This record gives sequence, structure tokens and C-alpha cells, in this order.
Amino acid sequence: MNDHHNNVPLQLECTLYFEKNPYAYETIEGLALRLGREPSDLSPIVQHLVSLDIIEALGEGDSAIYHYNQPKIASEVDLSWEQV
Amino acid sequence: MGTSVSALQHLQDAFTKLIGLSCLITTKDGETITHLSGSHKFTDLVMARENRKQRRSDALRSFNSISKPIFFDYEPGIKGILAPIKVDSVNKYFVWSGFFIDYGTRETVQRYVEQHIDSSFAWKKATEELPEIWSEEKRNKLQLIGTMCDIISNYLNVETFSDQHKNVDCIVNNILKELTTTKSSVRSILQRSLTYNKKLDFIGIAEKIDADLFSITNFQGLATEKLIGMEFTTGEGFLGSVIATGTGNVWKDALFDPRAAFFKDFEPKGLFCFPLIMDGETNGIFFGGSTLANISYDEIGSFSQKLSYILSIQVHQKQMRNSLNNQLMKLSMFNEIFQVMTTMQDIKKILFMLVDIGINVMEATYACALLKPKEGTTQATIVSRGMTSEEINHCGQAIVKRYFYVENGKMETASTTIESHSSDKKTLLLPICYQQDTIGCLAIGIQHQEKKKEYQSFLTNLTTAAGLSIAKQLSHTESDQMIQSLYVTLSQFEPTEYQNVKEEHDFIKEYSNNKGYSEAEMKLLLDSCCVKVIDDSIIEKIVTDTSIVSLIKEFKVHQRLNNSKSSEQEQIVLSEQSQILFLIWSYVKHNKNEKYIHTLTTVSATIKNDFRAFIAKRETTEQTIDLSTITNLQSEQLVESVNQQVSLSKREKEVLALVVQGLSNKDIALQLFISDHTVKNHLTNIFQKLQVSDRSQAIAKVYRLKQTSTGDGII
Repeated sequence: MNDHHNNVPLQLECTLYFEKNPYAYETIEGLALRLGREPSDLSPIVQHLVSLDIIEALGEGDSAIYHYNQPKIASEVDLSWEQV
Repeated sequence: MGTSVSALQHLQDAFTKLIGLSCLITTKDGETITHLSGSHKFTDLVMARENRKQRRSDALRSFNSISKPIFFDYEPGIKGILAPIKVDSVNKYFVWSGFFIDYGTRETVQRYVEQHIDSSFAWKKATEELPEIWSEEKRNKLQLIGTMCDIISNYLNVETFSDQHKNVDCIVNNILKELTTTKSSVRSILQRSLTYNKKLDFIGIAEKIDADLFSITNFQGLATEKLIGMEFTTGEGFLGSVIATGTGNVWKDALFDPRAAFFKDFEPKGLFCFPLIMDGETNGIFFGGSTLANISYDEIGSFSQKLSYILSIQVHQKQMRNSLNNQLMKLSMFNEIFQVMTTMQDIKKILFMLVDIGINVMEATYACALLKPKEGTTQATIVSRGMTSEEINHCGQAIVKRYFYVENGKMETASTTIESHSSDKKTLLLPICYQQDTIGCLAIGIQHQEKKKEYQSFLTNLTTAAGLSIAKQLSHTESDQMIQSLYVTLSQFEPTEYQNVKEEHDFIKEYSNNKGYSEAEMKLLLDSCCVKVIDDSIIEKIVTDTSIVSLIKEFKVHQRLNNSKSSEQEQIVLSEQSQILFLIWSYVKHNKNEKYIHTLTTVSATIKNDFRAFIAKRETTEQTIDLSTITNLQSEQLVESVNQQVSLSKREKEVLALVVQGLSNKDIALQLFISDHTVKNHLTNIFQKLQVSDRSQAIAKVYRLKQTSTGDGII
């Protein structure tokens, strides 16, 4: 079972890496080098993070580049909380 | 067959007498098991004449699949009986019995023997003695041989069964022994089982990978790896049906069943499958079989059942080990997350992290995080993923209603679940709290209930850590704003002090960088520097950062002690930071006169020396002197100012003035009409008096002394 189901820690490690380095653009190989992991272990994790929209993929296959997809920031949302 | 051979021999001897024919038992390859019983001349001649084993082997190629005793012609007209002995429903041994002739055929047979076999007297005599048998007697003999085979078959089946049990016990014992060591694995158990159990030519297990989804994780025997990774659901095919029923099963002629297509590369004839159950839950299946023969429940049931229990333990142990490793990894990752969270200085990034980690662990499709709007405002910044504006508003209102609206002064701090705006999905709300106050909220869509169960407590801890970090950042922001306001006020009421503080700031920044202080350490010094002249009572009321307040208090102790010149300082230990703050304040206040540093009694010698070295370095790096532009008069003035502090002879002053103009020893010698050697002597004396080691340091020293004596800048 070499998929993301069993590897929340690695999933969080990848997320943390992209959060700490929001301007990083990495291939699977590059990311593996930075995290000291096997590309084969990272591949399903990275795909899952793409499906969760946390990172974004540019290109396809081995040459795909991944980068952090910053959450949406909505400023000045009126909550009118004293009127509730 | 071992010890049973003698029993067979006795049985064969007894039946030989009963049947009146010679008897022999062989394997299916024609190899003899027993000795020939009953002596007849014809049989003896046959035995002596040829390679009987080869002859039997050839004959068995045609007759190996007979199911009952048959008559066969050894030579035309000369007959024998061949009967199969079945062990485990397979013809394993054969009884050979002979020879005789049919009633009324002796003359024909004798003629044939004489013409085609041997015309000698011995053969003629032996043929004459061959028993001549009626049809009814033939049937009797056939029946008796059949009975003998049945008896032997039953005997051997019982023995095989007993052997198998002994074998199973032996395998089980060995596997159990290995189970207590770290060497044991599912693979080693399967390999061992396959080696011991000759009936099977493949064996494997499948494990649960998701609810009702199973995958083959280990497969041994038959050179195919293709089965590994193949998936099936509960109730699907042979293997899935065992999971559905929870009981083991054995199938005969499985290859004729359409469900056998699952095995792709091979066709299992006999197949068995048993569930791997732990705590009443089926975690997988253990299966195996043969592509050559059918297998019965009696043959394999006990073995498979026992092995399935062992494999259940092994698989469970493996899952426990994986789970433990996973938990340890999670723990270590959670620690790292908490560490990052509590040291993060950007509130926006803290909210990003909450949303991302929430989506990650809950496998959610949406999440958002927001902070409570400041009092008097209704607008907030919301960080979200996978949510529309409408959904954000709906979620925001629910959060406001539950957590930000204070009813009877009591703030809600417990997590809860709410209905989503546009779907039947639910959203988990986790308040971000700090000291009984709800300062924000994290909302995550619940995709899988089990994830909520698994991670809710972790997420609660995470929001608490976030609360702590956010509160710290908010208080810093407020404190920063307050300090800046006080500093700006200073420019209005104390302009001189304001200018000094500006200069002290520059010194603090450079000195902190020079000493390698952290950002936080430098910030504390800078903030304290801004407000240190303000009255204690005001600072204590306005500045919330206690470290600034206590540093300023220490600064004021320095001021008091240095003014009073009392011996009280010996009993008070003042921090390094307060010493630096006071030292820089004193240095700037006294027109950056290096001499004044000596007089500070509350600053340690080490810090003073460090600061002096820093000042020297700072001045050296700051002052770029173009020697070519210095005139004779300027250099003489410079040297004269040096002479006020360092006593130089007239000649030394002349030499130094020329050195300051950038002249070489040779040029100086020419200009002063003295030898190079004398110039060198003067220079040695000058260096000694100025406490420097070369001419560049001497030039720097001249400028420094000039600066400190007049308070001027560079010429």
C-alpha cells in the first residue's frame, strides 16, 4: 500500500515545505532531494496534494513542476456580528 | 512408506496364498515396493529373462489411470492382473499378479511360447504348469485382488492422514517458533508452508486496504508476480465470497468456474481460501491451491485453518508495527507543526497553515479560518480553500453567532458541527482561543466521519497553539504601535533626546549585527531605546511587553549607580542587554568620546572592550581617506593634534607628517636629508608611541586622535 492513505505524516511534511517556501517550484525529483525522500514515495502524496488544491502542477509526467497554491484571502468580509 | 512396507508384505503374502498367483507391489513408475510372493516356474523364468522394471514402466504408461483391477496379457494368451492402489484418490501404487491362461487355451499358448519366446524344455515345462482358469474363477481372483487393493489403500490413507497431521503439526510448530522472533514475516510463513505442503503449488494472502476493498499483498509459488496488487471487493469471486461469509472454503475443479478468470495466468484445479480474522473483523484472506490436482477439505482444512490463525496474528502484528511507526511519525510531524506554528510571526501564514493542515488531515474539500473583528468593527479577513463567497458568508455568520457574540459575558470555546450552506455535508467548527477568549475560528468540511474522530483532538490542540501564537503577534503589534507613538511624541517635546535616540538606534543596529544578535534581541534593544527616557509609571501602563519594561528599569539602575558612585552595584547583577543599552546611550550622550567609556562602572570590561573594538572597526570602515589631497599644512596640523595626546619628538613629528601625506621611506629620507635607515628608526619609535604596528594603522590612529580631541569629523 504505497499510496497517500497510509502516509499523512509525509503529506504534512510536503505541505509544510510548500508553506514555508511559497515561492518554490519543484519537480518530484527536486522535492525528494530537499526532503530526503524517495521520489516513488512522494509521487502519490504530491498527486493527492494537487487533488486537494494545496499545490498546483505545471506540466505533466516526470517534468511536471509543483508549487504552493496559496489559500484565497477575502479581506474586509462584513460579518455584521453585532446585528446577529 | 517406511514401516508400513513389512505390513504390506505380510498382507501380500497372505493374499498370494488365497489367490494362488504370484503377487508384487510397485510404484506408479514400476519400482518394486515388496518382494515377489508365491513361486511359480513361469514367473521365475520371466523374472530372470528381462528387465522387468522397464517392462512394468512401459505397461503402466498405458494403464496408469485405471480405476479398478484389470486383466492384461503379458504375452498373447498369458495373463496377469493389474490393480491400482489409491492414496488420496490418486493411483499411487500397483499390484501385479500372475500368471495364468484361460481355460482351453494351453495348446495354443504352448505353441506361441515355443515359437516366439523360448523353445527350451524349461519354458515348455513352465508353460505346462501355468494354471488354467475358468471365467468365474478369473472374476473371483480379480475381486480378491480388488479387495487386497482396498485394504492397502485404506491402510495407506490412514497412514498418510496421520503423516499429514504430523507434518502440519511440525510446520505449525516451526512457524510458531519463528513467530516469536523478528525474522518472522508473512512471506517466510508462506514460503515455509509451500515447501512443506507438496499438494500445493501456489499460496498467498490478500489484505484489507479500504472498507470492503482487498488487495493481494503476498503470493508464493508459480512464477507469477502479476497477482500481487490485484484488488477485489467483499463478495467478489472465490476470494471475496470467503470475506462475505467469514468461513473458509475449498473448491474442486475451480478452473471450470468462470470466477477462476481472476487468476489470469494460471488455472487452479483445486483451490482453498480462509479468512484472516482478528477481533471478529476480517482483515484479509489466506488462499492457495494446486494447478495439477483437486484438493479436499479433509486434506487441507486443518492445515489452512491453523495457518490462517497464524497469518492473522502475523498480519495484525505487521499492521500494529506499521501503525506504531505511523503514529510515531505523526507525533514527530505534529511536534514540528506546533513548533512552526508557535514561532510563526505572520498571522496570515498561521491561518494558511490552519486551513492547509485541516484539509490535509480531514481529507476535506473546503476549509476556512478567520479572526474575530476588532471591537467596533464588523469586517474580517477570511482565509479559505474550496469555498464560494456565499459559503464563506454563511460559515462566517454561524461562527459569529456561536463564538463571537457574547451572551451573558460567557464566551463559547467548545468545538461543534454545523450544516453546510448548500449541501448536506457538515462543517466542523474549531474555535481559536486564548485565555478564555475566542479570538478566531477554523471551519473544515467533514468528508469522512472517521477522520473527524481521528483528528479532532489534534486539530483542537492545533487551534490552541494558533491562538497562542496569534495572541502573541497581536499583542506585539499593539505594543509596537504604542512604542512608535511614544517615540514620535518624543520628537515634539524632547527634540535633542529624539536626535540622540536616532543615533543610538544606528549604533544598536550595527552593534547587534556585529555581535550576531537575533532579530528579537535587537528589537528588544531598539524598542527599549525608544522609550527609555519616559517616566516609569507611564511605561508600565502603556507598554505591554514586560521584557521592555524590565530592561528599561535596569537601564535606570545603571544611570542611578553611575551617578551615585556607591558600592551598591557590587550586589546587583545587570543583564548584558541593559549594559549595552546604557553604554550606547552614554557614548552618544558624551559626544561619542571613547574616553568616557572607561568611567562607566556598571558595564563589564568585556563589553567595554567589545564596544571599543566595534567603534574602532566602524570608524576604519567608515572613513575613506584620500591621502593625495592632504597638504603639508593639514598633515602638520594633524600631527600637532596627535602630539597633544602622544609625546613625539620634533623629527618624529616631521616623519609622521610625511607618512600621513603618503610618502615612502625613501621619499621621506630624501625630503628630510636623512638616510632610509634613520627614517626606519624614527618610524619604529612612532609606531611604539602610537601603539600601532604599521604605517596604515599609524595614519588611522592620527585621524582617530584628531577626531576625539576636537570632536570634528574628517578633514
